[in-house]
Amino acid sequence: MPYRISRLGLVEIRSLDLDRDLDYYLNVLGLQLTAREGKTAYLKGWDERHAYSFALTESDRAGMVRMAFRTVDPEDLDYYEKRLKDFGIKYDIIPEDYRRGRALRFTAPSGHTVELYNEMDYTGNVLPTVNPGPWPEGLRGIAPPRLDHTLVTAPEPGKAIEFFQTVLEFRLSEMLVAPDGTIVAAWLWQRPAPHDIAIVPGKAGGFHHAAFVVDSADALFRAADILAMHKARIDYGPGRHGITRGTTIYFFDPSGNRLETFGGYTAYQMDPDSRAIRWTQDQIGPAVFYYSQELNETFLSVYT
Amino acid sequence: MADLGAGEAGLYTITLRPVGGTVACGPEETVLAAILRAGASVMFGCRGGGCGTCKMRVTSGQIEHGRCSAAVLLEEEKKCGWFLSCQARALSDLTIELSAANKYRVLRSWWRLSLLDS
Repeated sequence: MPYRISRLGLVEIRSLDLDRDLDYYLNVLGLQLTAREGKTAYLKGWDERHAYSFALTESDRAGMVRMAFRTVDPEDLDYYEKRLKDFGIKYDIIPEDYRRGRALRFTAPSGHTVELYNEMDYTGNVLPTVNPGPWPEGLRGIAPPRLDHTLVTAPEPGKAIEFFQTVLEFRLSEMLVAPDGTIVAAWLWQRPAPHDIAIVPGKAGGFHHAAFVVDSADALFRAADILAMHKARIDYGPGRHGITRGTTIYFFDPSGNRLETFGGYTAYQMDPDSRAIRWTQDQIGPAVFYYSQELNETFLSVYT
Repeated sequence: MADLGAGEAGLYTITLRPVGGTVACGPEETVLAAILRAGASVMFGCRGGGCGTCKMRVTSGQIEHGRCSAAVLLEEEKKCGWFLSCQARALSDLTIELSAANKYRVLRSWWRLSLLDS
């Protein structure tokens, strides 16, 4: 099976106060601002080459507006359009969006708005394209290089997981399995990394977190320092997940949306032949929080 | 029962029912911050008005709601006294009716504090 999705290209989140939250995203999380258009701000990590990967839209509530995956080639969008038709999934064609080409938009069984697109303005990262240095000076805040993955909730996680597997051809990297063998939660990938999206039980359309890359242990602890210096609300960490092996800090933006610094540098590399790792439900503690070995109160109950 | 700073000048008094005990709340702090500062453990989540975990009900007194997600604090709930404690500020003395889960937590907190006093 060839892989047709290059990455989680966009997460759009609702903000209760865009001025306040944008200040946080620019100066504490340290994303780059591409543009602010009305009630939406378009952002990205410093090493991302397309126009934006994260959007923040003012609303009367918190939570996720949509997630969008970028296909590897333009033809892959046609491939998926045929697949949506074959599976009888209703979809809309979005001719264009801010600095982005045609997209397919549909609702996953989890209740989330999902889009597939291929074209977005290629702006380059913040480094020169000729003889670049390894990283830019003068960044503010945590300054993650890029968006990594999202984790969302579903009332019937099995159905949502099956949708992402069969219709969108994501593969399981890891799963949490109940004693009767049903899959309770899953981590799914196409890009050769532990996950592009994960699904856990919870309300329809629920947003658990979006994760940004930190690429060393130094960066992880520096991120924790920055969050604490700004009195940001840390939910958990620094720590490590059993699932994916990635290091983690969970924290909240000022509107209460959970974010993560994810240390994929500790994770494994996927191979097309990689097969799913199984976690039994009685080991959910170390599966999620490897060091404390138990779930905290907020992991399964607090999300937007 | 714990009476932590209640009655001081410029502070409002929050009475936690049905466990008893009062907490002082300044004009600039949220109800949740005041309760936590007094050493009482209650349920909270994102502390941004987004998740609704810290929802409580006031039975007397005035509050300012602050910025809360309309998805987790409905207008009808507001009319019945519900508020998000991580965002709300006291505008007068308050009486708060605790949920069963919070009642247990607060009782346990008072018991822990009593150990420090003895």
